[in-house]
Amino acid sequence: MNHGPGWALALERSGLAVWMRQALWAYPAAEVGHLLGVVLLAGCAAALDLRLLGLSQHLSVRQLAGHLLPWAWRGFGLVVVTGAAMFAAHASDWWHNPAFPVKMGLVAAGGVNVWAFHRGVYRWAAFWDQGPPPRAARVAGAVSLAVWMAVVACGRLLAYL
Amino acid sequence: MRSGWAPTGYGLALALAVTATGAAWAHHGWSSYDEGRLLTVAGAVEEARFEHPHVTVRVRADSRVWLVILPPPTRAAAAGLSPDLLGPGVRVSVEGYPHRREPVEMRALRLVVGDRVFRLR
Repeated sequence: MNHGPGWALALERSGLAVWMRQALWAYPAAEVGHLLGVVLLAGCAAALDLRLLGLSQHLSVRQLAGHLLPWAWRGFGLVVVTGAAMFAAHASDWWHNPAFPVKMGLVAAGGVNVWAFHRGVYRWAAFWDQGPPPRAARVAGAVSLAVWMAVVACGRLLAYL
Repeated sequence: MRSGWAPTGYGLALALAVTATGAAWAHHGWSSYDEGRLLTVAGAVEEARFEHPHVTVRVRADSRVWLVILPPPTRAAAAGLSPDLLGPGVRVSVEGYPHRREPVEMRALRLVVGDRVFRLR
């Protein structure tokens, strides 16, 4: 602490940040919530990604996406709220941690991948709903799998760098 | 193909992640402390912080102020420690491992306050 940009230092002095650092169980609870959110997000994404890579081709891609993606978004919501609380507690430390910008960059890359998938190949999912996925869908699935695994790795590395 | 850009972007991100990983291993982990050297520091508490991720105590011993790293607040509380035991001026004796690079930082294994001994892990 006591280094870093002014807004980060101000954030660390906020009531939420002080409470996150000093309340005995607030931080562990946020960590548990963050992990559950990651499990929902990365787990649901991975289940769809494997289908996009060509596994279990008898399953309808649209039905699978319709079931899994709302849960992935709920997981994302949980991750954002708990992550923001933990960020506030040690904002300037996170700001200087080399794993942090990499993790945020990967999350952004994951978001762009989601956007590209839905704007692109998923628009004509009716034509490949069952059977082998087109190349663009395989690429999106592979990118998603790799990105979320790397995000998890960066998240854990934050504590050790 | 619309997502043709993606593998390149990912490769770049992965390269960044790998580079960053090599940069500075183990700033926080206990591996930063030299378990081959057991050290005892006795002095007066200047400041104690019961905060996540670790309880920290500044101890003035002679002319040096040591930064003593204790377990997380939950584990310190489980060991019987509380903030009111470590007010400014309280005499303490700390046994633990010195940091490998920081000259006046140590990880506490045993903390003695008055006649009370706290075993930390």
